[in-house]
This record gives sequence, structure tokens and C-alpha cells, in this order.
Amino acid sequence: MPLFGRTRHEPELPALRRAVDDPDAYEELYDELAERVLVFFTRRVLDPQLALDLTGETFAVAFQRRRSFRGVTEAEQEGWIFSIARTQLSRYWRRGRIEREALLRLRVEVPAMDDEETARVEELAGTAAVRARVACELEHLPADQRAALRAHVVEERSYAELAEEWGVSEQAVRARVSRGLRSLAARLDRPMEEMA
Amino acid sequence: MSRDRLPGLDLLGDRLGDAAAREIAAEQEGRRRFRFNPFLLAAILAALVGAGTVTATGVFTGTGDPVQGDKEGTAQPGVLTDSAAADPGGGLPWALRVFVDDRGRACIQLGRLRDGALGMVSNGQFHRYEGEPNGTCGGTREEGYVAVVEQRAVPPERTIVYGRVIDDDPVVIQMNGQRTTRKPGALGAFVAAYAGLRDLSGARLTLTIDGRRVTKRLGPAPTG
Repeated sequence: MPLFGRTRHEPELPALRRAVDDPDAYEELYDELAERVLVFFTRRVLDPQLALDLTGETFAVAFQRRRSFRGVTEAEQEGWIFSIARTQLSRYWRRGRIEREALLRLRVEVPAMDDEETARVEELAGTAAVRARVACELEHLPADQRAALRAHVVEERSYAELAEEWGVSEQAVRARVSRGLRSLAARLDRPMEEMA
Repeated sequence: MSRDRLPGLDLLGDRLGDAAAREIAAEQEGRRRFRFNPFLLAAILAALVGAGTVTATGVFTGTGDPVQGDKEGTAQPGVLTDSAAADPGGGLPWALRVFVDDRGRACIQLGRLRDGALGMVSNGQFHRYEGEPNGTCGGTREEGYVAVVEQRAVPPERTIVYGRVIDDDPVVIQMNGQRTTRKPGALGAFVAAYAGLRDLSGARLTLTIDGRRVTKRLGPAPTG
């Protein structure tokens, strides 16, 4: 029976909720958030191609877990996506490699960025400023963590090589790098004015 | 922010969108073909349990392929080594391999693991599986998981619980008062092996589906 004189407006669910059975909604979600996720990663790994790989895995995981999302607002959806992104970032820092399991399951290959796009993403992310800030914040870390980050992350030397040179176990080197990255990330997540 | 100069990001979105469309279409097709029956799992398991010897003889033990055909030390594609379970008697570990059947469904096959290859142990010898794989297909897309109990009546007797889940949360198996936790490995696979032919009447599987912890009966549904 039709209702007269009253129109009921149901608030539309966020794209991720609708993506359970609607691929267009999933693309809508990607269009809404992909660039911000890419910038988020680029500011933290300082490498746009790496950031694109992490962005791909984040959205692939989001698709696979979309039924787990129970939020009803755009803000909850955004929080959920960035929570996955932070998990991917944490795993990358801890393991030194990108997880691609979700992308593999979906049989999706991440495209290669050309120089122009790389420059554009660096511009969007303000990478130059972030690099300067990272260099600055690196100086505030304890000496052992700073040395571990420089040797492993900047100079790309292996854990085994550093362990032998420093006369400690590989696990100890890993722990120093991991602690250093966490400290650095915590400092970089603070506004500039809070920095010592 | 304009995306007009980010072709890589756009192309990634197109590929993800195409993959999502494929997955959703396959899920919908699967649902049309296979409506969920809450008793189906128990029925399948009951059939497997009841036909345990037949399964073991017909599919897994057989007469054994010739050992000379074994490609010694060569890993097979699709074998999931990280979720392998130790054999309770100290034999070769139990593991799964995945393959896709001609209907496009993901399938799993159980076997013994050696040097990255899956096979069976017969008369003390390892026989690598050769030819077309044979296993349990479907389940994860429709229900969020697939779980199978196999009972090997050929000595040494074993009860093996295995399957795949979509969620990464640990899978908990309760078997005759024994609680076993498995962290799903690659492709959500899990395996647990028990000595003997266990009474499955109280066996339970607890896993996460769509963000909720649920418990499923592993044994046959009670009658009467």
C-alpha cells in the first residue's frame, strides 16, 4: 500500500557496506579514499611505488574483509580503512617486505608508476618536507636505534651483516630497527609544534 | 584532490574493481548453486566419517603410485607448508594443497608433506600424489569457511581436521576434551591431526565468520 504525505529517507550506508554485493560501491570506496591512503603511505615510506603497493594490498584486504565492517557512517568507514592501512604499514616495517597475499588472492598486479606520476605523488605528499623532518627526528632517537635505522633502512645493509659487525645477534639488530621505526613513526604522527 | 595525473593509481583501482566484480559474481553464482543448509556440514561430515575407510582406500591410500615415478625433492605447486600439522606419532606432517576444479571452485586436498610435495605413506614409503588432484571443493565463498574431518582407518589410525577460513583469527578445535588452536596459514588453511579414530559426537570447531565467533559441530548431527 502506498504511503501518502510522508517520505521516509533512509540514510545511505557507506560504500564499504554496499560493496558486499555491489562492485560499483567498492569502486566508489576506492575513488573516495585511495588517494588519501596513497599519500598516507608515501609520507611514511617516502617511496611512491612502495606506497602504491601498500595501497593496493590495503584495498584488497578491505574487499576480502568487507563483511566484517559494521559501521554506518563515512567516518567509521574511513577509520576502518586507515586501520587496515596502519596494520599493513606496521607489518611492512616489522618484516621489511610488503604483504601481497590479498592482492594475489584477487589476482591483481600493482601497476608501475612513471616518473611523472612519482613526482606528482611526492608533491601531493610533501615528501621533501617529510624527508627533512625525518632527518630531524632521526637525531632525537637513541644512538643505537639511529645507527640501526641508518644502516638497515638508508644503507640497505642486511641484519646478518650488521649483527656480525656489531657483535650482537640478528634478533637484537631487528629489535633496534623495529623500536627505532616505531619511535620515529610516533614522533612523525605528532604535529610539528609538539616536537622538541 | 584531482586524480587526473595519477594513472597508476587509477589503473590499480580499475584492476581492483574488475577483481571485485569477478569475486562478487562468483559468490552470487555460488549462492544460487548452493543454498546454505545448516545441517549440510554435519551431513557431509557424517558421510565422510561413515565412509572413512572407503575414502582412505579409494582416494588416498589406493595401491600407491610407483615410487620410481616420484620426483624426489621437487616441491609441488599449491602445497601449503606453513599450515602443516605434526603427526601425533612422529610421522610425516599433514598438510594441504590447493587447486581449482573445472567449475572454478577452490579445492583442498589433504596429504603427507615431504620436501614441499604432498603424497601418502604406504608400507612405510612416501608416494607423492601424481595426476589429477582430488579433494573437497567450494565452501569458503558461500559460507566463509570449509571444514572437513577425515578418519584414516589404515594403521596408524588418525583423525584429521582441516579446512580453510577467510578470517585470520585463530581456529579452535575441541576434540574429546582436548582443545587445539590453529592460526590460519596461507590462504586461510588449517590442519590438526589426532591419534586414533576419535569419537566426534562432542567435537566442535570455533572460527570467525563475518567478524563473529561461531562454533560449528564437527561430528554427525544428533538423531532422534
